[in-house]
Amino acid sequence: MNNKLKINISKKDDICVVKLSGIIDEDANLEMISEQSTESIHFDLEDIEMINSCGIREWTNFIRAFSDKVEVKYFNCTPEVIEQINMIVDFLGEGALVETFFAPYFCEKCDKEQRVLIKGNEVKDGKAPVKKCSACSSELDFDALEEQYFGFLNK
Amino acid sequence: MIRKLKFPIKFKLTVVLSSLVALTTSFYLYIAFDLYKKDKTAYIYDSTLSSATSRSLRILNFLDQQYKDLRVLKKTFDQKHLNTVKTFFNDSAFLVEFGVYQLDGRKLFRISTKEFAHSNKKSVRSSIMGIKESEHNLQYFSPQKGRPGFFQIGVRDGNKIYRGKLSLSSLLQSFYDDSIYTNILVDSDGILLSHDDLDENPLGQSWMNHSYVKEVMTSGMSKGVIRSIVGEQKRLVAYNKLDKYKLYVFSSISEDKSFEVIQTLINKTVYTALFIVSLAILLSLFMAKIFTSPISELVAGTLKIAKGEFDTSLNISSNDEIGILSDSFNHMSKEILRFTGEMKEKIRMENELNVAKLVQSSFFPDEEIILPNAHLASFYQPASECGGDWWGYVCPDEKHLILMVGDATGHGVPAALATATANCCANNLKEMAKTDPSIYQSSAKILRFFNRAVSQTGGNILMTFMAAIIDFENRSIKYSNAGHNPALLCNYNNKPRKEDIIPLAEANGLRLGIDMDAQYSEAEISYEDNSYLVLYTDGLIEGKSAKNQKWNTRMFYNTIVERDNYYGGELLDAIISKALSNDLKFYRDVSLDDDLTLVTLHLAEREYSKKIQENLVFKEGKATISRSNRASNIETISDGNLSHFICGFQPDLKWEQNRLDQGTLSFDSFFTENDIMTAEIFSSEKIIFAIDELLEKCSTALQHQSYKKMLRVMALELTSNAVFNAPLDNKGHEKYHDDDRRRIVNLLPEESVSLSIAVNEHYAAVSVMDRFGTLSKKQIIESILRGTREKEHMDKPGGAGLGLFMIYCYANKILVERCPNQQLRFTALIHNEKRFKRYSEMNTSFHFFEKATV
Repeated sequence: MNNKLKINISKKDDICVVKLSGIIDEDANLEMISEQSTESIHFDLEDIEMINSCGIREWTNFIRAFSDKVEVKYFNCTPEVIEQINMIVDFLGEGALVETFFAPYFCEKCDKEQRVLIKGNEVKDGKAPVKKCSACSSELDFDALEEQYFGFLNK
Repeated sequence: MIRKLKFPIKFKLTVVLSSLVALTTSFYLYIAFDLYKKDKTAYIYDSTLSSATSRSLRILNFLDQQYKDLRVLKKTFDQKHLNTVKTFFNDSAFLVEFGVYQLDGRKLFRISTKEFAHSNKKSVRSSIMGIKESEHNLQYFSPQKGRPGFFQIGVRDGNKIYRGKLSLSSLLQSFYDDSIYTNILVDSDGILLSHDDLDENPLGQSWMNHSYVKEVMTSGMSKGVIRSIVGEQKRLVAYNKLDKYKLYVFSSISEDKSFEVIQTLINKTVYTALFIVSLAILLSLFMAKIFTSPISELVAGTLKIAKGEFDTSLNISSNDEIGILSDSFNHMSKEILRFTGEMKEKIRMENELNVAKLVQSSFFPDEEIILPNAHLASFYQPASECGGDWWGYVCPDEKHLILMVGDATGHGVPAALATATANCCANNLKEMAKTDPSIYQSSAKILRFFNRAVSQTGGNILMTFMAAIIDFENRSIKYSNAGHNPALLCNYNNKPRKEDIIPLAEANGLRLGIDMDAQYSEAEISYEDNSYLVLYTDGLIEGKSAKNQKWNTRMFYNTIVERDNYYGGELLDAIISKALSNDLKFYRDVSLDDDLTLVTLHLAEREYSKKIQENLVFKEGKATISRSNRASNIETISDGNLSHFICGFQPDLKWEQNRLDQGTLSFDSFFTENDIMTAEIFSSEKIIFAIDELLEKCSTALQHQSYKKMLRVMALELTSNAVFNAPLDNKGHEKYHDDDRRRIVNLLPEESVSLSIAVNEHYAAVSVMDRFGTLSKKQIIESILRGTREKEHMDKPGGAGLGLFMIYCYANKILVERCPNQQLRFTALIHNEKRFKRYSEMNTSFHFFEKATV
């Protein structure tokens, strides 16, 4: 039995919201999501700690069979998940969209890294949106290579 | 670093001065006390002896007087003047009885005071028996039956004995005048005849056993002073023997009492000395403060100078060495201030020159450029901060290359301005070539274009210049020369001789800048594939060594034809290493007279068309270095069958190269023992727990939160691979390779996998070691390459085939240390940068080490 991945499913206005927490690996059992009868599914991946190579296999096999039937959207994707999305060609699934995701920023004034939640449509021409530091309100510096990090938006 | 003040001079000075006073005073007191004590002791002894002597004399005088009186009475009695006897007796102060007796004791005459009126015949007889004929003696008789005690003196003459009795008080009075000394009188038998305190010491008792009486009598000495203990008291005892009467007089005094004055005096002197020493310490403190306050001021001043406050000055008014020192200090600080100002100005100028140098460096192309049909290598060294040499190239299309080299007159800033003009012209040429192809079809036209620009700069700067247009399609070179050293063309299809070197010496015209409307001609020459075109400035062949020897054209040519063949930048390396070689020392250790530029163009279409990559790839030492992206790099690694491939964006590029060349690059070279945490894995079930446990211990040093998650993934992938893929059975087959990864695999002890996670301020790494060494370089590269190309998992039993690809994407360095059939250590390392962007830029270096034994 796999207790490394927790799946929390809730429904709101015909939309199935799936919150995943923990590790997606070879033991990940995603069947209970497949069993959901819905036309739209929203994945909240904020609490995903890690996806290993076998987890990628489990996930892409799952999403490949799933995404052509329902509308899939992703929310709160962490930088680690974004790395995987950029790395693996079919990670999101056919026609799926990343609605919101965390992006790494850095506040020069506070000398501190920050993860800022941004919407996919905020990224224009591959440039990171301007964000302010939550502590000192100074402008944050995007702390990754834009071409690399936002690569998934062009897929 | 400035040391902490522990023992200030003030303290030292105070200690020295106080110690000096204290020691001197102590020494003086010691000597003085000793002398004083000896002197006073002698005085006390002498006084005591004088006391005894004076009492002896008094006793002697007294007794002599009594005897004299007795003889007067005798004579008067013998002359029968009895009335006179009575009168004399009555006048006598001390005689209480006078009697004349026959030898048998019969009384012939007797006169006495009332007190002694009664007489006993028997006692008279016995008492007069002690009176000898020719001796003076004194006998004591104690009181008996109401008769008071007395002293007896007597004279014997024939058959008669003349006896006198003296009252007790008579003798004692001579002792009772001294309150300091205790005086006693004893006879030769030790019988006490007199004492100051008769209540405690009755007369007539034997004192023979008394300590000092016995000592004196047995010593035989007649006069002296001894120390004696009486009771518990130490006493000084002086004695004097009256030989005439066989009497001893003792005067004694308590030693403590006698020395009391001395001790009092010593105490007072000590108190005075202590007062003087205290005063001296206070004075020392005061003096030390006076002496050291200027020094403290100097120290404070130097500390301020050390902090960079060069405007510090001291105000010390003393006219001694310290005053001179403070004047020197003030002078020094002023000088430093002046020098600092000059230095700032110099630094500012140097900075400006460095900026100019930096700006100028941007005028030059990279030192190594790979073109589809050729390889460009260059070397440039200015004689001063800014040089007057310049070279550049323009690739208007794939078939043409315009190569230019120039040398402005002189060097330094004015010459550098000319190079700026040349560079500007080259950039313009590049833009113009996009719309006007004719520009790169005529080298003469290019020279005219440059000439106009240089002529208009003013400042009378001239420039030798040469432009060559290489037509790769037709394998021809069009060139024009404006007074520059002709370029050299050399074919290497067969070993060239010096005669085979072709100088492009035609089409020579005026130097740039002489005449704005100067016309230039052009010449054309064809070349064969695998030829070199060499462009250079005169700095290369006119430079002189320390021994004034010229690196001349002959040596230059000899180097060009030294080898059968060159590749890429090898010809340039050969020329430069010869020119700068330690043996010849042409340009090494001597300042250059002129700027030095050398450009070699290897025209070898077959070679470079294959090698050209998206970005630069070149070899340095053992490593191949690239600034391309990960996908291109892994293609290059797989194509080139390379073992060491360094990403050129690594901040420790040189360190990594050096370590590699020295053979010391390994997992351990990045970390100290304390940085590394290790766990031994025996079961697939325990992997994630072991990883989390190790990360918990060392993740605090990670500078970005993403690194922990990356290390976790990489550790999980590497450890799972080692557990499932490394172990072999007896037949050499992989035991668990195709097993479902959900299955729990328990390893035998000899199959265990060692997992290490290491973090320090610069790096973080996961290192996994198996005991089989099965994974080959080919397998690793193929796995990464497949992941890079396909970007998806494999549908096969066992792993998903993405682990190594993921590690390649995450890691900044991969080190594989393999001993086939023994062990394999796979290390994935990231730079522990605070900025995630900086980490992201670095891509991945790859190193594969293989050795026969561990």
